[in-house]
Amino acid sequence: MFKTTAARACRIVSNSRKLHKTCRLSTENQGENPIRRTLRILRDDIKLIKRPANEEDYRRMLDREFPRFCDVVIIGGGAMGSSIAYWLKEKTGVDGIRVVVVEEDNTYKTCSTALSVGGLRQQFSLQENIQMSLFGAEFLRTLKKRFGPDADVNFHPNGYLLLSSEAGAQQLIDNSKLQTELGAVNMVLTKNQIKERFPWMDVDDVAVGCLGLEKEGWFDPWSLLTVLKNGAHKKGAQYINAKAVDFVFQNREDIIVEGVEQGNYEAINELVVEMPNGERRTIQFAYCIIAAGCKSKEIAEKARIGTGSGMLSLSLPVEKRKRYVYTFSCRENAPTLNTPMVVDYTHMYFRREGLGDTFIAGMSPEPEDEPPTDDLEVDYSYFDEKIWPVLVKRVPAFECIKVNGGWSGFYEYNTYDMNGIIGPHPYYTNLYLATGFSGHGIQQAPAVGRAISELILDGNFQTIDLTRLGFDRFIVEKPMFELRIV
Amino acid sequence: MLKLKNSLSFIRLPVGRECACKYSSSNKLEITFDKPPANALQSREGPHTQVAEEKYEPNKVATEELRWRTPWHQKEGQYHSFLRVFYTEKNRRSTLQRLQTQIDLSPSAIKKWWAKKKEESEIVQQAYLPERNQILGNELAAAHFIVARGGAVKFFNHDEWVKADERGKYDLPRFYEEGWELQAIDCADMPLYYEGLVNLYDLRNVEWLSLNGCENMDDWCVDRITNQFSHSLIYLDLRNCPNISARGIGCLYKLQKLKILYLDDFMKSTVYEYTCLLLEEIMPNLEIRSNPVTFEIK
Ligand SMILES: Cc1cc2nc3c(=O)[nH]c(=O)nc-3n(C[C@H](O)[C@H](O)[C@H](O)COP(=O)(O)OP(=O)(O)OC[C@H]3O[C@@H](n4cnc5c(N)ncnc54)[C@H](O)[C@@H]3O)c2cc1C
Repeated sequence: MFKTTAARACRIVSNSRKLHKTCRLSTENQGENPIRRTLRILRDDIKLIKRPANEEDYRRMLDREFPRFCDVVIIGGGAMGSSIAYWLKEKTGVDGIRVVVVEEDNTYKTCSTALSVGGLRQQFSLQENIQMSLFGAEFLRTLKKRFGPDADVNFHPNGYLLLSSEAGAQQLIDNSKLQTELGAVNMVLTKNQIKERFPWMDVDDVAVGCLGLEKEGWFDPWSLLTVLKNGAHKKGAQYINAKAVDFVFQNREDIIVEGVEQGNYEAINELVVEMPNGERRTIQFAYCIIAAGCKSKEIAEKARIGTGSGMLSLSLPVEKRKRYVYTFSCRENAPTLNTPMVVDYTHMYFRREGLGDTFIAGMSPEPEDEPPTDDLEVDYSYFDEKIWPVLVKRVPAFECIKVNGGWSGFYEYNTYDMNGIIGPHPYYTNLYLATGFSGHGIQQAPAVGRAISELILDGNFQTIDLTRLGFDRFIVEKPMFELRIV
Repeated sequence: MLKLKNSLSFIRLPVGRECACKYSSSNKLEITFDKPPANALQSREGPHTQVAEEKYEPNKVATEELRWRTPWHQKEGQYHSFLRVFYTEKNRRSTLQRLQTQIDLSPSAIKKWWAKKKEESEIVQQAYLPERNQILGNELAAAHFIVARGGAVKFFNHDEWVKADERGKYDLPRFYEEGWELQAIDCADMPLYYEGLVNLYDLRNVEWLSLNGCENMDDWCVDRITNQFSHSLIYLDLRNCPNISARGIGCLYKLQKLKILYLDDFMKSTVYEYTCLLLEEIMPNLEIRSNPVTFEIK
């Protein structure tokens, strides 16, 4: 008798709770006896009172507990998610806000961070991109100061060389001017100057090139991910191995959001996650950040972005696009140390890998050549048909090469303007996005993490103003595309 | 735990600009979003747009143009609730953080803290001062910078090295003068930081540079040096710089005239050795030496 009344009382208290879909949560949240619930929560809290003196033990103890509540939940623990977690904790301290990172794959087998080429360059045309990657370079340079002497991402300061045909020459020169103004160091080279510096290159069809002289090159993205993840964890962010599958909605008449009819606002403050054993649990949050890479759209749709009405009818324009990277070796007359990362105007790129005669190359395909995105199979005929002819034309020595292997990864491709989507979603008061970087995300991860943490903790961008890269640009129709995308 | 101002965050988009959506007097959204704006979400296919449509330039879009709604409290007839008193534009995040971090007073922590403070102040002191370069010109400014920190420099057409004496006194012009052009810079054992290297930009013809014993030099510094002196440097000494790895050595090919390079021990590791070999291969004039030599500097 008492049990049923209590259950009803409980239902009245949490009256307006609705589930988005018919997903059954574990019994935990539905109609639990309020007294039991109180006791359970108290019990959990008491366990935490006895705080071990050792920070390490304390963190381990926290990690054991499943976080039912947190201040910020981050979906996706790749470079973006980990960087956001690191900055949030860095700015508030170990005992500051509680940050939970939900990552479905602890091995990071398919995440783009681990599969990326790790290029660092400032040669963009959009101001924000240049500023972000300048900060990226600064962050990598001072990595040891932040994360201790063992943190190393193997930066190769070899520069980027962007080649341009006649048609793009003016743009390349304009871009270089802007980059220099903002603090990048590069120089525009004529055909002859390129030939002089890189005698192994055939540049007959090239008009000009732009060579990065400082802070450009490549690094090991896997190390960066490890450093960021360990750094965030050490500062007290909690990683849980689970897949974010849904949100719980709640009608909140008391919240007024501009552009939403009063009384209709449906808030989200609970995330449903699926544990590896299939069990579903929920995490209550104050803020949620979607940094799920190429799967961001999927999870955004669960928050009704793109499926709702009004502001929610705009979907997140982020798609999976498969990109191949091939490794090959060249035994004779191969260019050696003086090989920057070369990006051709045909959108083919290659660079040295290690010291031997090994190179890696890739290319952004034409729209009609877009490969299927069901798996990460590598199509070697694409190299033979599309990349190799361009490669040989650029570097005659690549006539005799042997393809050793290759891999592929997914770009989180922003079909609207091929740039990151950073900042709050206009409908929700507590949902932030950090995705859509379309192939230049890893170098921006430090800056994006800092920017999101500023938005949440300071209420505003404090360092680099990324307002123009927010979701609102889809509403006012101001695409922020790069004038040359690689 | 730090409480986040959850329900207050909806005031985050100030300034009223009605762009895509107009409001009627009843404050209702007139253009509904049910149909996505005409070309908004059509994918702009192809990353190959070399030059985008004419006139529209992403860099010219002002931040304000992205604001399309007036925050509730800025609308006519609306006002801040009295709770606003507790909400400040400027967050006191750092104060909160300080309050929440435990203070560690153990000797090792204090030592670490002190070392960090010292390093920070040293880095600030090595920063680029525009006034210094305006008064002295690049060459003399760089000379002052180096000599005041215990290094030595030599100019073309001057036979003597300039170095500060025990009391830190040295003899260099205090204003710009013609005819001072740096030939050699000796930074041996100086606590030189990456940030300090900015003072060495735009030197006309430095041929000789020693960073022997500058422990803070790492690959990023080498990256910067190879750019700064790419046109002129002939002699470079990188001994006793434990933080410079093979990757830094690998980009020394950018120093077009380099002839002599001193390294600790190029057999340090196979990668290191191989890098040196490759470097000598593409720079036929280069000689890499790794036997210790001493220089006398007056
Ligand atoms: C071939 C290739 C080359 C590249 N080269 C460069 C380069 O040279 N320079 C550069 O700057 N960038 C490059 N990039 C881009 C860069 O790798 C990405 O922009 C960057 O890694 C994005 O990081 P992320 O954290 O947003 O996404 P990811 O690294 O993909 O991380 C997303 C994470 O979210 C997790 N996740 C997804 N959905 C869920 C869910 N529902 N619940 C829980 N977890 C979830 C995934 O498991 C994944 O670990 C390249 C990318 C590729 C594919």
